[in-house]
Amino acid sequence: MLTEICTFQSLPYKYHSTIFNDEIILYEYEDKLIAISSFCPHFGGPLEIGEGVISCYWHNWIFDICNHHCINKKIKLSIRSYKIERISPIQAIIQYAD
Amino acid sequence: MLIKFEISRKINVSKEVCLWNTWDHEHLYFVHKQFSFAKMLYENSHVAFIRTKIKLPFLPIYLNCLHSMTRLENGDVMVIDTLPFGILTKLEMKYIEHGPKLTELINLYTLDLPCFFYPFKVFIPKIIKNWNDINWLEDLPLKIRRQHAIDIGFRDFYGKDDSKRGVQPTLRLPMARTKDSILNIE
Repeated sequence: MLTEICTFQSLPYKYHSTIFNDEIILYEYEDKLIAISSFCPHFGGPLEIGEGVISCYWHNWIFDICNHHCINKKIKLSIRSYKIERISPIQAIIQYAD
Repeated sequence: MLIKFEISRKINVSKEVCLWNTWDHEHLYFVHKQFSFAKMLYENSHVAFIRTKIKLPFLPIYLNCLHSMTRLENGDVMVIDTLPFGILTKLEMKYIEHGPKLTELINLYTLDLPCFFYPFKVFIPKIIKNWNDINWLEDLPLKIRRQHAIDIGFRDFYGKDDSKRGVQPTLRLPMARTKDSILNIE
């Protein structure tokens, strides 16, 4: 199982993971640390964490900040998420989600 | 009155990425601030007819436009625009591959203008070049990121797919979009 330890200074935090070959965004929602791919599953646009939602400006796709499902298009599509466990205030272990 | 001029640029992305950007009509509305409306009238694997409203620079005036796009046999694109005031434009978009991730885009403009535009003959190419510059700069981050996404194995309407890493997808027209896309809304 691929594992990466990520060190972050503040949240949300975006970085390129060479382990997962992906650009990953870490953010906190309701005291829970979450890790997702920054690529919009539509055409690969840049996802941004907003007020209660995650959005991509390329084609205005909006996703639920909690379950990562698209909420403004008639399609069942979700952002890729990773399993994450905080091991210190500024560090977390990231793994592929099951 | 005919006016002809050329705009040429190179970019470090594949030809397919450039073509993807050209045929992704949906982004016009969200990325390019000059477009306030975009509606697909008809499209198939070779043509697209799009109605747009564009905002004139510096003025709160919106103009209806009709864009007719054709994919030529070599993959290049020809765009015929019908614009207000009797203006017809032909834009030949040539995509020259200098490498797997180096493409030259040559835009050949031919403008057919009514005679009353004669006093503005010198300014019109400058206005269009300025318009082209703005569009180019707004599209630049999309093309670069799209190339990056493909390099890491991105698949449209899916996300990152490790089995697709390094696979350059071939553009298929018309490009897929959701039924509730802004282009489909009356």
